[in-house]
Amino acid sequence: MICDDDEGILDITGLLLESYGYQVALEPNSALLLPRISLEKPDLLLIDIWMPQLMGDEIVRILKKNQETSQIPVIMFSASRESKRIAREAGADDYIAKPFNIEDLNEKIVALG
Amino acid sequence: MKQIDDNNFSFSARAHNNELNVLLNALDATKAGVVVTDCLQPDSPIVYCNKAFEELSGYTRSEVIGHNCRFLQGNDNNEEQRETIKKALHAGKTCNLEIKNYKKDGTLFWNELRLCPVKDETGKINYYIGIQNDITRLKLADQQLRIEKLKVEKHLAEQQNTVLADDNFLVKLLETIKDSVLILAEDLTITKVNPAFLKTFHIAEDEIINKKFFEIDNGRWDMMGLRSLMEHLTIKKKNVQNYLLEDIPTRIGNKILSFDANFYVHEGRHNIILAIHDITEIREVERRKDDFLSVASHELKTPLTTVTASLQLVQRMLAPDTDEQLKNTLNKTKIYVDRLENLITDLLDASKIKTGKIELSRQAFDLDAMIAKVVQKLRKRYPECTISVSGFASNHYVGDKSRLEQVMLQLLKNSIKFSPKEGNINIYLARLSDFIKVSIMDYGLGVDFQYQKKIFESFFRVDEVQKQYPGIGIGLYISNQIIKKHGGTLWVESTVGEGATFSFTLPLKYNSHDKENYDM
Repeated sequence: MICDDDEGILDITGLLLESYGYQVALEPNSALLLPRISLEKPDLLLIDIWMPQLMGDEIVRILKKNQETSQIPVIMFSASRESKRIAREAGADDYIAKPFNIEDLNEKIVALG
Repeated sequence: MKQIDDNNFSFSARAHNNELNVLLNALDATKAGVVVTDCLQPDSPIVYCNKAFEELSGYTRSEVIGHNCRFLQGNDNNEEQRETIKKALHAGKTCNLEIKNYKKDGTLFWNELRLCPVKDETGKINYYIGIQNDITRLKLADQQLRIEKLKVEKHLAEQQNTVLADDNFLVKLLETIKDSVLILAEDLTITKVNPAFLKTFHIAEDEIINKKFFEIDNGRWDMMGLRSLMEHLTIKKKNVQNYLLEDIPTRIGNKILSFDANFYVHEGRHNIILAIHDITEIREVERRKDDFLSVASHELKTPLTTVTASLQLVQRMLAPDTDEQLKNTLNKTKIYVDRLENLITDLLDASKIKTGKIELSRQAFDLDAMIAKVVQKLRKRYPECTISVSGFASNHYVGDKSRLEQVMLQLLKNSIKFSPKEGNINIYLARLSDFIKVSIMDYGLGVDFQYQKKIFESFFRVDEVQKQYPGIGIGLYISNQIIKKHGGTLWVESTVGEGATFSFTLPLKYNSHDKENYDM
């Protein structure tokens, strides 16, 4: 599952990952993400940090605290390098900077899968 | 004194036994500057210096380790002396000479230098010890100096008297300048104030004349920062320059003020001249500029992410029999988009450095392997270049891997960019004392002496180079700041037309006052 408030990034990232054979679900509204996750139980979450409704790191903290969702691997992505620290502190399993190279992203997904 | 590890001259880091410790303390207690250079390493870098050398030259230990002693000579030729040194070094003999050197602040000094070789059992010279004494004072003809000094002093005293006598002159001077000025007696009574002060702080003259400084505005200025400034002035009686205080509650709001203070003695009493400069607005403009740069770079990256991802998607969706021309066009587009991304990242980095927001995430990593990887990447991209690597630095360095990778990439790309004909680049890795040193040597255009410090400033570009090799001039600035943040130094040595050697050192251990994160 991918969550990013920028729909351009969301769509293209979805298509790219589909081209690698993944089944992808997209969510542009971070406020709706948590209920969707408990319902759909994704195998992995790729999530932006700076989002207007609910910040990505906030969401990751909640997911990692909740027993039901804490096992879902999370990769955070963002356009600023220092966000790497935010991602780690929130408990994300990995981080990739925007713009990203799809092969690098895929490697990270495979490593967590 | 050599360690088992042949590249590790580490006695200055931690003495291993008491005897050595005593000797090291003795060296630090001597008045003569002592440096040790390692002749077995390329370019004979300094591996040790004592306290007196730091005082004599104005450089700290971490600023000189890894450098060749040449930096003391500035841009001087010193041909005769260099010849003497060369001959002595060649013969493995001790030599004494006097040479013109420069301190860190650019002041010239005459150095009485004694060079002694240290040989091993086989007679091979391993180190050179340089003993230095500042004999500038002796060199200058004493008498001449005294006469000149007397003349100047007499002249100054006369001038001071006329200025003091002419009160009107002083008043006019105070009225003319734009900075706010107060003149205080020794007990901090305000004896004079200029119109700029009254205008800036919305205070009437009769409200403060003959009042004590801390009575200004019913004691509003009576705060810690100002108390310590005044104590400094009244007790130590020392001049002050650019003394910054934030959040000073004035009638026109909280202000950031910069203070400069000087003294004049009148009838045996010290009077304080206090100039106050309101820099609140300058600070605000600077902050807004940096914020803008940071927001703009971030906003530019978002659409760029979509463009990059779309390009990758198109490349992935191409049928295997796609026209070569289309494939090439897409590859070229990708290269240009990458370049755009690098520029934006650099701008973002520069703005972060300026606002002090750059963070290092330190982890132990294999520095030598990291460099090998960067080199491999560049060899692939620039097959016309020959890049060689020799020596080793550290396979367990604690630092920000991705930032140091960025520095290596920047320096190597520069060397490639400015070596249009000769594509040879040599990288030397070494461990010197408790530092590592990395040098990148090219045979390209070189950097003129007058620009060798300036190129590390932000947005600096050498004019004649700009036309042929465009860029925005922040790559070296960022690299320098990253190396500094790690506690090391980055510098260049070069002869125009023959090439340039960019080197940096990194300390193997951190000072305890370093408050960086050690996460990730």
